[in-house]
Amino acid sequence: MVHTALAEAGRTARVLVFAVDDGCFCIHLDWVEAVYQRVEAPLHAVKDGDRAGHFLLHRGQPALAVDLREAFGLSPLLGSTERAVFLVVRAGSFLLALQIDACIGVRDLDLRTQVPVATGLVRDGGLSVGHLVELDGKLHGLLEPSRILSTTQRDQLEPLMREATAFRDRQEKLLLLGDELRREPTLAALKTYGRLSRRNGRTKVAAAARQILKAAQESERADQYDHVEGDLAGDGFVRDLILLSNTRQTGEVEVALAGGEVAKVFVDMGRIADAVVGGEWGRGAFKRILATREGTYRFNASETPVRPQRIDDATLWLLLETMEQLSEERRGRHLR
Amino acid sequence: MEGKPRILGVDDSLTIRKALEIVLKPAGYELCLAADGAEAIDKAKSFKPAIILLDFILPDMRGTEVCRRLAEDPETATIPVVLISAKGAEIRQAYRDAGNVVSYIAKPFKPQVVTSIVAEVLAKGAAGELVKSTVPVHEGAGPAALAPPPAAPAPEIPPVPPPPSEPTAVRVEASVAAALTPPSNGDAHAYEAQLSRANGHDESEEADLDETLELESADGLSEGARRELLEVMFETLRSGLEGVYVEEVDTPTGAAADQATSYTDLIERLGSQLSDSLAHARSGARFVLYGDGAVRSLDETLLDIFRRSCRLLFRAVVAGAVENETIPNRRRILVACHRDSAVHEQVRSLLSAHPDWQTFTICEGFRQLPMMTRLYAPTHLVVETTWSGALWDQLRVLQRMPEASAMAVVGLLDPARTPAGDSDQGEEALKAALAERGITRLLSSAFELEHDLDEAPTAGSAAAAAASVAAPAPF
Repeated sequence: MVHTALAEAGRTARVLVFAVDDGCFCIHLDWVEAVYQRVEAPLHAVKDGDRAGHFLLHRGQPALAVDLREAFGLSPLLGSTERAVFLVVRAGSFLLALQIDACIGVRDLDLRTQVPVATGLVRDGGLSVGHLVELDGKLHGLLEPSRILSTTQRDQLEPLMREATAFRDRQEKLLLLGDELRREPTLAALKTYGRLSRRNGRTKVAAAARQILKAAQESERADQYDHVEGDLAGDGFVRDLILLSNTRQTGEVEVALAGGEVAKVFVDMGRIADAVVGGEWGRGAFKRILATREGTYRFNASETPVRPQRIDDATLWLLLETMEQLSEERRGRHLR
Repeated sequence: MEGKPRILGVDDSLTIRKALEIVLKPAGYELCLAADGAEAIDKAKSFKPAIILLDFILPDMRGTEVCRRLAEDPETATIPVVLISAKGAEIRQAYRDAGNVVSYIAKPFKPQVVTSIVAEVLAKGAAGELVKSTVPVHEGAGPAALAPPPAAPAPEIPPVPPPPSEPTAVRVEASVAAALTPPSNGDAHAYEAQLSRANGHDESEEADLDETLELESADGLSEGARRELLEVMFETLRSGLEGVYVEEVDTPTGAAADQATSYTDLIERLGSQLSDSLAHARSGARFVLYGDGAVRSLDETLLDIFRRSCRLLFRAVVAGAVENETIPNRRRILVACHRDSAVHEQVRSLLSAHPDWQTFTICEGFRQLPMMTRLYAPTHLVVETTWSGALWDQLRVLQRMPEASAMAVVGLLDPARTPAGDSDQGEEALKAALAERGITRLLSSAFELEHDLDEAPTAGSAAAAAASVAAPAPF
């Protein structure tokens, strides 16, 4: 009788049992890295030429989303489908995010009581994709993660994986740049941030960065920074906030909203330190003010430092984040 | 013919050529040696031998091809050829087909056999009686083998012994070890020790070797010849012994095992090597001189087999691949039926009576059928035919899979659940529906199923299925 390495060990093996297309499969727990629900999975799209795919970043490592239908060459027959769960497994040098219908649980698989049957589906070199075993009277496919994909399939996925890795690298750079922008923002950093965000598919951030850069360029040309006022309808408000920031002004921007309500943005040495509107303070208030398109504003310089300072971030970063959030919210409303 | 009779010895093995030299030169023959077919043909023209001793398998061409070319050339057409090979059946065919082949010697051979056949062929040639020789093939040890070839005429087509195992092995105990025997005093150990000292070899090592070599008395070889052969032996033996502890120094079949292209191939090659060592063990010889010049003791061969077996099993176990190879007549049965159906019960009792049939049952979630069929590559799919719904739908999918062509889909009727009742009309309609889903055999009892499973499909078709699945799948 031929036993697998699991049986050779003479012990029970702990396997994660999961369901795909009504079938039960299992993978040795040692190879399982994580389980993500689709709704919470950090899933990203990736494209290389005509080939598109998805991957999720698990602990900074890209894991390509693969469906067993694809891996077993059944997609042409069964079509593709979207499943509820991603099972991240280590498959040789790859991380794979297997799409599964559900996780059934962790089981002890005792191969001393039964001989697993090698699958007829084999990979390069005649190695089986896994073994078939019976658990609770049900047929289970015990998969060998490194053989779920054939070499051909891996070769085909390689460009996508490279793209995913590049995405991950950009993501890491964005994190670093984000820290920098929070503390000591520069237009160069913001420009890079916008470019990397665009390449990583964060178009809203990229658009916000572009808008801020444009406003910053305009603010450089502005000469009357001691007499700042305007209308909320245009882009002048952002430009003037950047102007105040660049010239390190202290004071408050008084915003007269359309309904007669008055909002204030407090600027301390050029940095937006607080905001208030309708009893709401801090970031939330600033977001509401920035979202408003009807009303006028006017800056009143002051020598008194702003206390308390409910907003910590640098102005560029605050503008970037707030504009991205507003953009996302607008998109959400549009989709609804 | 004037002077010494000329003999051309052709063999790609240095050891065999050396052995021929040691055997034939002292017997008064002028010997010329060639290592391959082309060289043999050239030397046949230039050396003009009275007889050619021709190895059947050469690196560049077969012995039959050499014979054909020699026969086509007027210069060499009349030279009698004696084939040397372990391949009895092929030699016989070559002996039939080639007009210039007058006799043959099967490996392993003894020195006396070579000299006697050469003498006989030359004598007959001189007397103008050269017809196809009737000299029987001599192989193996024992008194019978040591006896000279029978003088009595034998049938034109000589008897062929059972083919020896591959690769060809010349047994040492007669052809070589006998040659090592000191001619007079019989004190083999002292003689070997003396030789060792003379050659600067480690005495204790060679004393050990002496114990393992079967030193028998033999006549006809000079001390110089024995010594020369002994040096060749020791050299090859020493390198062979060193090789035992080196990972990849192997017997020819052992080395070939590494070139195996699949596990089945590997197992076959290992089996071949095992046959060699069994033949070796049965022969009683402790050393085997292989065609490539390697000398290996039985211990070494067995150690090599053991090591290779372990490696093979290790690789196979780790890969889980041994069972990928379809074992002839092994049934891989996939049953799809509901747990509470009569079919399930019938099939279960039937399968329990056939533990050699590999079986898995799917009783629910029939959407998994295509995927499990792809994974399992069953030779038979047994489906309960009275069900509609998921199973019904999946059968259509299965029909479009490449596995379908190599898998027998057997429908088993559940009398209690026949949808259209028991009427013939209902059954006919069901059969038509089943045929649409690739079910060509509709059975009504476990007995029929057992009979059906016993017959088809063949293992070949299952292997074809496995092969088709093994091919890179579209992605």
